[in-house]
Amino acid sequence: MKKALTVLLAVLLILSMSTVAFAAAPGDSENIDVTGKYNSTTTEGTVYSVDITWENMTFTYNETTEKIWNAADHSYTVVTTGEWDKTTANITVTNHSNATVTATVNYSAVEDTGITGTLNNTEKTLAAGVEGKPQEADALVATLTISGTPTDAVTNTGVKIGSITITLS
Amino acid sequence: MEQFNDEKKREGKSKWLILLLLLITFGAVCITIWALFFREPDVILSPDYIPPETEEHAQTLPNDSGDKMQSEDGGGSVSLTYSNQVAIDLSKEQAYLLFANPGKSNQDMVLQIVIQDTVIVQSGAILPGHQVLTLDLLDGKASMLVPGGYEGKFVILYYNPDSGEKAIVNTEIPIQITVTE
Repeated sequence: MKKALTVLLAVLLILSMSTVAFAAAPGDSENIDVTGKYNSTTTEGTVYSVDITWENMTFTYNETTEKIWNAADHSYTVVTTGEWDKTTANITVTNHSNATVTATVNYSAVEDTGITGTLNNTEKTLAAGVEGKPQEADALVATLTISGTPTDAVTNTGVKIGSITITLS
Repeated sequence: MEQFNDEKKREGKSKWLILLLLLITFGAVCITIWALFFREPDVILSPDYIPPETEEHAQTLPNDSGDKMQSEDGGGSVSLTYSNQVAIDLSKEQAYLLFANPGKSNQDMVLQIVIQDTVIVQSGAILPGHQVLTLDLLDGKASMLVPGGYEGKFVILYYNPDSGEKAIVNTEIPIQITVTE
């Protein structure tokens, strides 16, 4: 009896000492890294200098509701119209480095707001600055365009409807 | 009589062995339950408002004119000066880098260093006209690294200096990180 209990406890001990692992369930995807190689010989690290400006990113949807009296059946017909105060805003990335910089602009929308944001001109390799000509520095101008009708999630005090990430590589 | 004593001794030993095994099993089960259900996730959240403390390692940027860039009302302008090479000294638990928020910016900044989706460094507020050459690793992050090379990124968050609110725009910069003991 004791021997059996000892064996049982030993088995329990071995099982409980196992590492916690989270196995992939059937159907889960598996990531396989794809590696690219690029050899570069650099004598000293480059110091980059990049300017980023963005226009006012507050977009206001103005809704007007009109009630039209219908004399024939004594009822109102409700007509609602709405429009954005503006629909576009620019993001400008300017390279003042003495090396090229690739700028990528990405818009990430918050879900369930009913508002769509699209960016044009999202990527450009910006040329290195030319000596003595800072005003001619290469730049990317991306335009965010907003469309759609806001849901109730969007209040009159304003809520975040998305964010913009600029990647410099 | 001697045989009886031996048997008793063996019985006593077995009891202790069983008790020891029981204790170890109980401990292992407790650790497993803690690891599965109670261990706190290792996540650093980006602040939605500028941290009240300015970065302790921030220095005034030499030869900075402080002339502000043009910016539309409600918009923002920032200038970034940086190197994409970062060194980390594990013994000092510090990162050595070059990152500046020149005086022509009109936004405060917070800089994060991220490796494989884990934030290992998060600065305090870096005001326009300041640079950082050293930043402290977050508590416990040095033990996650080993000497060698890592690919990581700077994540730069911008904050309105008047309201302290985080801007809708942020920036990511791929960096190479060299870790030494």
